[in-house]
Amino acid sequence: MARLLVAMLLTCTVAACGGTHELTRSALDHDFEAIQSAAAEGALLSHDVSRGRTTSAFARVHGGELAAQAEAVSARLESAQSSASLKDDVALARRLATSVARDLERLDEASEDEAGRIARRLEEAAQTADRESA
Amino acid sequence: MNKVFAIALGILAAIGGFVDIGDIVFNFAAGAAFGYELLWAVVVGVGAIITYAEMCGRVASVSGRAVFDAVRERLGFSVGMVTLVAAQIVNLLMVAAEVGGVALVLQLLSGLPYRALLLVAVLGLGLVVWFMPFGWIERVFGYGGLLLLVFAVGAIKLNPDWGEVGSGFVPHVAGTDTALYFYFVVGLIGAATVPYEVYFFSSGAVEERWTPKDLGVNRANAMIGFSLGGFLSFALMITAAALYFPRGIDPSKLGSVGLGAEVPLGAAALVIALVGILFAVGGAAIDTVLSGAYNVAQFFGWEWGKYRKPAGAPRFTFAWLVLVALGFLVVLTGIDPIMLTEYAVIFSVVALPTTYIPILLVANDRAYMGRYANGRWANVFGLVFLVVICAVAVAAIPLMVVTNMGQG
Amino acid sequence: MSNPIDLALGILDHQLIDADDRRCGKVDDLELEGVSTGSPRVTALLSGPSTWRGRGLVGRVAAAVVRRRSVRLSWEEVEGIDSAIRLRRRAADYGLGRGDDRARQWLRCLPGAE
Repeated sequence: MARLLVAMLLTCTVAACGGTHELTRSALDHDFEAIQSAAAEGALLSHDVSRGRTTSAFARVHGGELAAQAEAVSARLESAQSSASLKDDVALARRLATSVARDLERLDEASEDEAGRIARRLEEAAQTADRESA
Repeated sequence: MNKVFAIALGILAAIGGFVDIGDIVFNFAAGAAFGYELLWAVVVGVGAIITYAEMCGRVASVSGRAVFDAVRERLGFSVGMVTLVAAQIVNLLMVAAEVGGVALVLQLLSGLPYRALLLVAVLGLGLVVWFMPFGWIERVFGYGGLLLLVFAVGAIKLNPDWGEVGSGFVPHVAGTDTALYFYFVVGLIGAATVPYEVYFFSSGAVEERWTPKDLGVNRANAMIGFSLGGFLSFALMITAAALYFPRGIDPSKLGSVGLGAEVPLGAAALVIALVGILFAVGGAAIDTVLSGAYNVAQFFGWEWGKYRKPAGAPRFTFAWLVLVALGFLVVLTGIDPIMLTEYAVIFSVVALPTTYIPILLVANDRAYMGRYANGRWANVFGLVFLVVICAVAVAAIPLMVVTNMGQG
Repeated sequence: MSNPIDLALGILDHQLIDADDRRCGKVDDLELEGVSTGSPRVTALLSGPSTWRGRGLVGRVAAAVVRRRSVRLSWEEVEGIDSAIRLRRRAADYGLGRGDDRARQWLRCLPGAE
């Protein structure tokens, strides 16, 4: 009995130190929620940019912060290991995160029309992410 | 008439000075996570700070002694020293968070790089505390904080369900994620009662040379000023509840707070909100830094007070200079000021009883207070809120661990 | 004050204030006489880091870190007691507040210091 416990403990320790983190469904849901949050907030900001209801400094700085949030999710998903059943969803999440990040980075230089288009794309991304995390 | 005017000005300063980065972060995050359901927790926090601020203002006016004098006298040297060290650690975290917050707001306003603005923030802090007289500090930063009223206007414009807002004021337990809910209860009460506020309020009474004649002003400042200050907290929570909660947005940046004023009201409101946050957080940084110096000086019996001028209270002056420098070093490590704020508030909650119990003891001491000792109502409220404070102090660390610092 | 408990609450750890109304330290310890005969009197107040040694474990650590002398104030020097202990003469006459004197040298030259 004692040897079995020690063996289990050792296995857990090795697994924990091994560096191969298996991505669970719940962690992936968390990532979808993070993407949804950044995209939804980004959509609000982009709407305001499209109607001239913000300052350029704010759009650049805060848009950049939201882009970094989405980028961080994308980077996390890139290095994560996942089971075969999750692989498609992980790929979707990465695509979403990357596109949200790129749109938000573009916001700074965007014209009012382009900002309106970015806002719509971000809203769609938020809805997709919301569906996936439900 | 002059007296009424003076009281009104004091109240205005108290309102604007009530909100600090802890209140901003926790009220906004609570609104986004739970909608209107946590408004009652803000009321509890405001009730506690009103009760105890009035008490320490009274103690300081009557005896000329501030909170940390009472801490050492009632708890003794050893326990007092532990309280002092704990208080200083929390003060340091809060100063760093507030300086970082000021830099973040300046960045959102100007677009200039964060690190350069950290230097601006810290130099500004040092120069203001060195040169600006105490009364000026209170007025300038207090009135500037009133700009946060833009969130009240914005909240109304967002057209919240006022029925739901009303039911948020009734204490209840949320159905979903109870641990996270109580984490926010702890954080909201903690942000409203963060110890540097009572240290500062009581030392401020001595700075402004209050005497028993000023007890009415003291009571007005505490009751009206802090209630209306709590109103600003409501505005922040309702804004986040109306705008972010339905969209599932988790506001983890100060920019998200600014956006909360911009969406309903536009670019001008954004700038007003950011400047309001600048004064509120900047003022809080000044208060915290001075609190740290008051604590050390009052514990060891050194001369203290801005009214003495820097050379008139040299060790006190060095104490706050060191705190500013250390705060700068902490925030220079690149740690996120918002995260630092959460840690500072939660850790300060754990030490709350060591701050508030001595106040209640000394306010009841007739040898100290004479006929101005606590009456029945002050004691009733004092005890009720002390129980609340002890409860949140015990619950803080477990909840922090279970909810992974509010990440759920 | 004959009851030692009253002494402790009434004087120990309280603020010392000199004749010029300046704060100059805390009462860190008391010198008592006649404790064994059942009628204790305070003969002197003690103030300074070295007296912290008698104030518990934390006090001993603090005294080891801050190695400075203490001052003995005989009971006759006490002018009055309210929320603080008021002394007859100025802090400099007792050797109190020396830390502030030392620290002042560094600040004097800076603009706006006085």
